[in-house]
Amino acid sequence: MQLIALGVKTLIGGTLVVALSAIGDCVKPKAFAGLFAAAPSVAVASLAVTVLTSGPSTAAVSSRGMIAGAAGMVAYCIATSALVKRFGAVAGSALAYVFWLVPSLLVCWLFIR
Amino acid sequence: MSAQSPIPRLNLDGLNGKRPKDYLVRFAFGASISLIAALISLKFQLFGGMFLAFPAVLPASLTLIERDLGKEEAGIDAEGAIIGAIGLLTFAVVAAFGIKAIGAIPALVVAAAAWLVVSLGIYTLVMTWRAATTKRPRKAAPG
Repeated sequence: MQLIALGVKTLIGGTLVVALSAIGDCVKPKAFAGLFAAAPSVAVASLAVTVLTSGPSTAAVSSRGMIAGAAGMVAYCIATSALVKRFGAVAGSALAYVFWLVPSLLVCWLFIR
Repeated sequence: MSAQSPIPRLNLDGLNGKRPKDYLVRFAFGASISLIAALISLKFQLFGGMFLAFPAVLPASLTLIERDLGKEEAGIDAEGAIIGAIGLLTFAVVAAFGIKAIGAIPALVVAAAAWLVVSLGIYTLVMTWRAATTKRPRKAAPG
């Protein structure tokens, strides 16, 4: 059962990421398209499957952890918008992962744990 | 952000030049993050939950936008993602508190709606504020 849940989460997560990024490709201007780059695609897939396989209380704990990750995502996007203009998309978005990890861990440790 | 009209509209030309490989890379990225989050959650639920908000789509999108439209447009896309990320934070807060209060599936539906409403609301506010504060070129006086 656990293995099936892992497979379903993986497949739905990948599919939703493609769907939402395709929506982002099909809209203008780019500032609006950017909204879809931070859509809760992986979260919706994972939480829905978690609810069905492990129950709502497990999903509630996961979404509490997600608050920390989402706070990190805000920091990541702010850092990326500056770093991409300076270093380009590949190096800029890779460097910015530090700005996701550190705030996420801090929020998780200080407020949510 | 950009000088072009901020009103959202469809642009199917945006799909031109995209190769199947581009979407395969995004699929692989999204699927990998989902798998990593699920595997970590098996042992550490809270820590695994953090990865539900891992930046998966943005880096893949930015590399493609930079390739097709340049560095400046990629930066603008990332600025829009800041707004989407605030919506993502709202999603997480609504889901975390809503699952126990109103049930899991209704909470996820409300959380997804909250992401959309907050993202669109902030986008509208930012664009309205920018339009109001951007100096327009004055018309030359007659004569």
